[in-house]
Amino acid sequence: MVKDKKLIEIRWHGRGGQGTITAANLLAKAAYKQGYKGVQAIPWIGAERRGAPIKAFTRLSKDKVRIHSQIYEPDIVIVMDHTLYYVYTGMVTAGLKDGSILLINSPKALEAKNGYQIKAIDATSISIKIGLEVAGQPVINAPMLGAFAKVTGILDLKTVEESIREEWPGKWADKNVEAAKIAYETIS
Amino acid sequence: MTELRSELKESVRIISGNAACAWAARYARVQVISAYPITPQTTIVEKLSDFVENGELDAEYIRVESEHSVMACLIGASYNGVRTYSATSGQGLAYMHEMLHWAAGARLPIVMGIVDRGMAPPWNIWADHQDVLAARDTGWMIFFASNHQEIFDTTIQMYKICENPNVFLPAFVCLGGFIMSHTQQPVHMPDQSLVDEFLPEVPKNGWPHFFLDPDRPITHGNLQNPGGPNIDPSCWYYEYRYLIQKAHENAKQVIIDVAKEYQKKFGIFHGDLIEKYKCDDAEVALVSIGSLADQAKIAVDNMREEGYKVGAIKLRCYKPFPTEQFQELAKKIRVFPVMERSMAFGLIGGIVSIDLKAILYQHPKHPFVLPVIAGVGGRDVRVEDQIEVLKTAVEMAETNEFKTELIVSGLHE
Repeated sequence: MVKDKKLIEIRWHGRGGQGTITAANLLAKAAYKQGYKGVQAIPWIGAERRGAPIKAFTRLSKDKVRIHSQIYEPDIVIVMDHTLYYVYTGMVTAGLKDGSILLINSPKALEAKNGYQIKAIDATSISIKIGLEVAGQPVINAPMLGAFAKVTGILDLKTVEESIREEWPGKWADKNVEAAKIAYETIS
Repeated sequence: MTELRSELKESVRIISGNAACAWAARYARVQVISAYPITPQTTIVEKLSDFVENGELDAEYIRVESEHSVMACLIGASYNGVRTYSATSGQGLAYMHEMLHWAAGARLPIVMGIVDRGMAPPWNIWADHQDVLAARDTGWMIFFASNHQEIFDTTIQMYKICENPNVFLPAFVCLGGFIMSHTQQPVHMPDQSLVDEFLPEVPKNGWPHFFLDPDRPITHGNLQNPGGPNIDPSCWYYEYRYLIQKAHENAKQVIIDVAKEYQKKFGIFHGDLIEKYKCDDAEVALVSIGSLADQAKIAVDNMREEGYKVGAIKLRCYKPFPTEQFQELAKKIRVFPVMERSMAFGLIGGIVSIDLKAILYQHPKHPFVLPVIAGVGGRDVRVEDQIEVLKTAVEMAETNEFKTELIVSGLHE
């Protein structure tokens, strides 16, 4: 099980403006609450452009994290935009191993091919449904975190909720929490 | 001021390296901040402007039009005997260069965060030590932090070191662009009252050697003639320069003492001028700075599991150079591979490896220094890359044959 590993390495793929960096940071903060005393969230961005493919990395450990390089053999890959999976399949699936999990924001289910599992959640629809949008764009980091909690068992839903409430105020936090809950209950 | 005194309680914050710089400056109760933005440093001075604007930090925040003016501003402020802070990177540090000499020459205890990055062209904003090491002979002390906790702790320690009357030098605290500046990790922060106890009060009437006071007008930094065998009151330039060298020598013991005192008070030790990792029985010790030094510990652990007698040395303080520590280590260690993000163009190796060679040249045991260039412009350096270098060094120790060819790790073919 991924959750039992000494060092859990997570790679994020998203598009500029989707909140991927925020999600990578939020996961580190939530995991710290859950008892992972060594956490690290690395943004890997080029020029700041909306829509451009970006990467981020989150490491979770019970000990200090001393590695500062990128992640090449991830235990978990989180894809924030399903088009990335089709356009950059090689980049997104690079280094996935037996037992790895690929969690993807996708309107439809995807079939796993090579030993790793694929878990799909339609986070975009969840965010649109409850009006979790910024400047007309759905924001999906909360539902992806909710789905992550369920699929990996690394985080409790309660921890996700607490972390969201520490990150954002009032009604905006309520909406994020609701989206995380829906994703948690929907994904199998 | 009194209102703020007990405000900050002990806590752990999961924050960026840049935020760790800003928090440390806040804990140190800096009084004047001068700011000009440059990536990847910008979020340091942004965070500080938040603190000042929200009334959480009682400091004068001065926005200027260039990095040259940032330093001119801090020099003016520090002349008046206040605690100062700013941060810069890459081209910004280069533009500030003239004023760096002035700050060190005037012996002002200015502390500055350097988020190191590659020098253009082509543009590069990622971890690289070429920018900061180009300022190696300005008289500033140069410290490198290897993780977020160390960024915070070192910045606080630096005020105590710089403001020591036997030192009175400015200092850089360096962290790698993006790899540390924008990455988030946990930072343990103590209760503010403990930091207040640890750091000296800034003297009310300014630093003993320098104080601008309209009631006692005096001139600073005036022209000094070359001089000669006959002592003339206007011929002390040479002596002032020599005193900077003396201050660097004095700083070594102060750095060691402050690291010990910090450990006693806060329970955290990151090393003094260096940090040794599993060096006691080592034949090879990998020397590195910044995040590479943190990661080198993993490479050493992996090598040790395979039975290799290797260790790692974190060069925490580059200026003053830990000459005595390395001379002591060289009694047992045969090969020092130095893996670094800089180039001493026209020589063979990175800038630190050239210095290390110089101080070990006359060592009776004649240890090898193996220069390795790695991670220039933020190029990813993996644990595997460090292991490969360690293995090359082990081979050198076994065969006693020195490789003259420069190793350039991770270069595209």
